[in-house]
Amino acid sequence: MDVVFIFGILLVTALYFLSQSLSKGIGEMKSVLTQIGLFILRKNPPGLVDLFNDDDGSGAKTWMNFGMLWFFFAGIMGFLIGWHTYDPTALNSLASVGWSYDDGSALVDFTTSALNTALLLGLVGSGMVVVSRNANGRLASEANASMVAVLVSVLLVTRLVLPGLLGIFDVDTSSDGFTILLLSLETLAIAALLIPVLINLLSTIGQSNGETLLTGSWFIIMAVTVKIFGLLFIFFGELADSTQTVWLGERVANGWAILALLLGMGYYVVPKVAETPIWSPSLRTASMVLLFVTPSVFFMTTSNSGNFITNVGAILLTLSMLPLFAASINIMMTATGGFDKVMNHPGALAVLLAFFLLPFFVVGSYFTAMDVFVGSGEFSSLASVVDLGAMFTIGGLVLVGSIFTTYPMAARKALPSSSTAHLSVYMIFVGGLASTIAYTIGEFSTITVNSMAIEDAVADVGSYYLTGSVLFYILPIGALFATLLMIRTGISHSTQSVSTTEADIKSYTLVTGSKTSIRELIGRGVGIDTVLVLAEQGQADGGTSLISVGATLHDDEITEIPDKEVDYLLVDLANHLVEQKMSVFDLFRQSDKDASGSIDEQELSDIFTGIGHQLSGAQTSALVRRFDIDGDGSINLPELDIQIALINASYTVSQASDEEE
Amino acid sequence: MTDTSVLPDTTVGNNEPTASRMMLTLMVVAILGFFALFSNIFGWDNIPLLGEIVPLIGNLGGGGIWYYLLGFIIGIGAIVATLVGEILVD
Repeated sequence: MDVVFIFGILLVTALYFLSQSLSKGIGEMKSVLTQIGLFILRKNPPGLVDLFNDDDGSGAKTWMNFGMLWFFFAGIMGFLIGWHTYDPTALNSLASVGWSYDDGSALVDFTTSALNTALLLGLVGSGMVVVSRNANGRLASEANASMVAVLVSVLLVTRLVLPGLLGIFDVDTSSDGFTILLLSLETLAIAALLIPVLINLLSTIGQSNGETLLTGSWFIIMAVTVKIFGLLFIFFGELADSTQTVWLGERVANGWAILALLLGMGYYVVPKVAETPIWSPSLRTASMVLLFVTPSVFFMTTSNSGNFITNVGAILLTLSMLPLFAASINIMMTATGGFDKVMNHPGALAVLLAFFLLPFFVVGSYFTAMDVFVGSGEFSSLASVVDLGAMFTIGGLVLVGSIFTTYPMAARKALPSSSTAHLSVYMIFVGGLASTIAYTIGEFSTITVNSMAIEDAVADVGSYYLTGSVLFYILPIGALFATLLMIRTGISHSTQSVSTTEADIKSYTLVTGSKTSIRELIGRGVGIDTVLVLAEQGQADGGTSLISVGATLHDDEITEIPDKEVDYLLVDLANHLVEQKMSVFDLFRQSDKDASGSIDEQELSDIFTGIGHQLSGAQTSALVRRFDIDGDGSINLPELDIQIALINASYTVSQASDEEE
Repeated sequence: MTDTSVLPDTTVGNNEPTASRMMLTLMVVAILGFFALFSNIFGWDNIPLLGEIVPLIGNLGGGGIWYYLLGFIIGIGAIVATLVGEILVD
């Protein structure tokens, strides 16, 4: 059996066991492994980790800060790629400071590295917020996370400037051997740096009290895991000169990992903002499973294997569109559940736009990827254009969308300007999409001109690249606005703080025998308006129902009072009327203290207090819902009359009393 | 049914939507983009190059790309200024 199949099966098996452990738990081993993880994270490396802030959310913020800065930087490089394709001599005046431009491949490599690092840092940073909200509101070690973010950026800067520095000492940096050595060391170092991140995420989940794992958290943990595996495959593949292993590693590290991050944040941001559960569990499962068994259409490289492997790869490549289509449809349909909320929230809007565009980029990338993988490779330059366009546009939109959503949660402050955030989202959308179209037309024209052997003087297609680069310019400017907003949100004490009175969840059940703190509860989204339900072990099912909202912030628990309990209260009220010889009209006139023509929650609560029932807020709300036929949130006379009549018709006093006893 | 005859000829809301500022900015950016694009495609004959306006960088600003790079430089400056400004305010 070929190496690619062996490693592929091993990897998928490992991911299956990890997924099972995440969803079903690992029993008694959980606390032991969590303690070991905490020890590793908080004490290593000695001295260095202590230099970093360990406040709640600081680790995630550091990742997102670096992610946005790298994205802006990658945007500048992306602009230069387009312009230099139009005019390679544009920056020749910088030759005196070391600038040189050959065929543009170095600039593309440089940009791809910066963009991948930006997406990794930004999306994992946002994912850290998601995972910590799935546990007790903070990472196992915020300081360790910050340290790793700094080291990843230092590593990338070193990798970018090292060839230039070595060139000063006349070291030949242009040879293939040096390039492969540099790439291998970079991949090994990033894999090594991501291991503590994975431990951090798993230890954070290990500290939770058995909450349902969010879809977003699942994707983020799987993404970091496959990134580590992919990078290790590339390193050891290069070491053993195994092209199949390197090919598999590139598919995993550049395809699965980035797509899993995008899907994870998509499944988190949209349901949370729309306040709607994920539309289809089946489509969600399809996107979760199929993503990790098929090669991604993005960043495909050629296959140098036999016919069998190539044919299997081509079939899997076709199937790889399914999880992305499934996620795209699912997230868009979820957004329709709270469309106004999504449109008014810059983060959710960005993610929605990204998943609207995703199928178009996937189809475009599929055709170019198939040509690269099994075809003549004639469209390899077009594939590069579509892939970079997809990562800048879709990746950029999901990146800013995730940051606009999760950064304020980590910083516990609101975004200073919603309109600027919307502006940056539209600029990234327009810049990324329009430039990709212009570049694609230009590249396609170039391929056509070359294949028809037309003289360059006759067929000048440079204007397409100029148009594309000018349109692309809008994208980094949008990224700049987003970066400035993020910085202002994070460091300014003058921006409006998010009040802890804001509740992400309506009700939270506290089980007797367990313990928690206000800080932990706030970390989970509990605010002062959240109804805290005290329940004995195993009793929670009687008075509450757990409604899993999938990838929303966390399980949104809504207190529901059983119908019979409401009935008993109404029977008591009806009995009271009989005993006091009061009509419904008398009751209504007596209870409507503000003469508003309707009874509100407080007035209804007072009625029941008068007959010996101290109602909780949830009980009062349940009663109002029962009465409130026109849905205006209060009870008018006909509504009160109808319910009393219905309860008189359904129950007799003796029946209700017997059942109560 | 509403009697349209009692409505004034023109109605103006009092609340300015935040999205309108965003739309204005987008339109200005689009107009500048089209202008720059037109000038680029048909040469820089009508618009002076940056190096011609600012003599000190005559050798450096010898191409249309420098107008765009100027935007990036201002952007980087804005990031640094925001960082420094917010820290000083705090």
